[in-house]
Amino acid sequence: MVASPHHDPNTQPSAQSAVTIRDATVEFPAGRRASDRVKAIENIDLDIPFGQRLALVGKSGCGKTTLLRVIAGLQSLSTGHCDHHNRGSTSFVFQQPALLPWRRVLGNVRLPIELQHGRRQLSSHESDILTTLKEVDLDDVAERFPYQLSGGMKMRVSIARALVTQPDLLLLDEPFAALDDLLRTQLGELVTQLWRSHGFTLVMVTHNIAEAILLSDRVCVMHEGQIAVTLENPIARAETASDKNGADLIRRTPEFAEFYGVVSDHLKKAGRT
Amino acid sequence: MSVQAPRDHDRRSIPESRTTRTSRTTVSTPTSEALANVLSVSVVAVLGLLIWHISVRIFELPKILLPTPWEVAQAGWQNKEELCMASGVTFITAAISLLVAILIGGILSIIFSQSRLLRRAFFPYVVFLQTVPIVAIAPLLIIWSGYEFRTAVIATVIICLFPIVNNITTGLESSRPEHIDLFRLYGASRWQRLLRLQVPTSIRYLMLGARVSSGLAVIGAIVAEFFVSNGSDYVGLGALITRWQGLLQTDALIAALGMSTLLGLALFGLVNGIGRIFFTRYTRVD
Repeated sequence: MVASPHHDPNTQPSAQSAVTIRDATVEFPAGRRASDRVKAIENIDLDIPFGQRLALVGKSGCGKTTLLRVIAGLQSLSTGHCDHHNRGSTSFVFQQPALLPWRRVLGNVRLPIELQHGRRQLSSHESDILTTLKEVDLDDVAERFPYQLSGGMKMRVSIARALVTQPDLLLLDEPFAALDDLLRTQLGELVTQLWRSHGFTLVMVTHNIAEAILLSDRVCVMHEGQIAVTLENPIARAETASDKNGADLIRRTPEFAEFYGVVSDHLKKAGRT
Repeated sequence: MSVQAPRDHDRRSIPESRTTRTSRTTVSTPTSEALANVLSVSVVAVLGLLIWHISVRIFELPKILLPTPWEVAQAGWQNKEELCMASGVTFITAAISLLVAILIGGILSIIFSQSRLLRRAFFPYVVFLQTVPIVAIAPLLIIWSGYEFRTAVIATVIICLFPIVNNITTGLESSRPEHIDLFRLYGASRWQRLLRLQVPTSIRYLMLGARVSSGLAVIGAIVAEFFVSNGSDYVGLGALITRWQGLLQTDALIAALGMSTLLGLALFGLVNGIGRIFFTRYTRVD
């Protein structure tokens, strides 16, 4: 699938949407009585076009992770609905690498295929698994255990595990928050590269504005369970045209600084109201 | 290509050198630490034996009340064949019971993990097993099962079961939330989740439980033998202890006591060794 052109979020759901969310509300019990409930997200409408990269930003507790879990199907809705129009699978990259410590790198990357197709069909997927490992540059550590890897390598294993099922929809939950800045940028570029070659739809949660700008086509600022504003990312097009080490160049452009300011202002404004 | 080769080499060599460094520290530190441990324990043992010996001499205690360590050693040496045979029997009883307890405990825990209802209904009875004093049910077990090896095993299993069931049950429920999400995301069946996530997670907890139970197993076996070996061919350390108590052979009795302590250590070591050899990958915390 090719990245679709930018899409007006206010239009009706169309065949172009990979995910359609309508009037979505999630409530959690918040006290002893059954009536004590807190709304994590409230009346959210969202369309995510095929191949688009969407960043959800906001302060902690604003519901962005809940929304991501709704999209993943890991969180059921109290009201409303969330429909997927893709035919393929959905993958999720967690904040921590979340590798199974008793499995080697290869075993960890193989896990989704084992779960979806059973062990017997593994041999037919063996080449996919090896290709994926090569893509994230881990083919020479396939036989290592997670404890033998650095934090960045573990995260790449986690990304490989998400990619091995050839997902149509990739969800990232603050995946690089625990890593240092340089690694963060490198992994961000890896994700961009993979998005270009695979063409999946991507939704990522982050509280890092720069990361949101560098890795998305559209930024949703969330506040208290609602989407306060949706911003088209003017940098996204520029980045597509730039070379492999584009992130550093883009960070220095006035356009980046300007959009950074816009997102930051919206975050502050949402906090004030 | 000439540019890429060294980069490739770099990438490969960095983590490997790190691995060697870690393994070197894990080799050197434990040896010196183990040596320090053995030394300090030995010093305490020697001091203890000295105090024991001197007190017997100063207070002129009769041999029947408290023999000197040397007399205990002599008595142990004189009865070495009987002591070794009995220790072997007790060790086998304890080890088999521990194994049976792990099997029963594992099955029970898996059942508990699959059904909240069954867990709610039966778990309190497992706790109940823990509170029943083995001395109190041993006579009943003898009525049901006779003066047999089997009876000692049953009694010991009852003692060992609780820590094992408790630990495995905890372990089966201790999967990390991200792992559970991962399995849900890929539509794992309950069976897949049990075998690929919950059981591997619980092995670390099982090893903890088995270590606690290894001490209990020796205690259980000896207490059971107090009752069971009464007039049967089955002679374990417990039987020797009761007999020597009857004959007022305090020195031999204390020698048997020493052997039972060694047995506890041996079983603990065996459990630890099995854990290290076969289950390292499951016990390592990432």
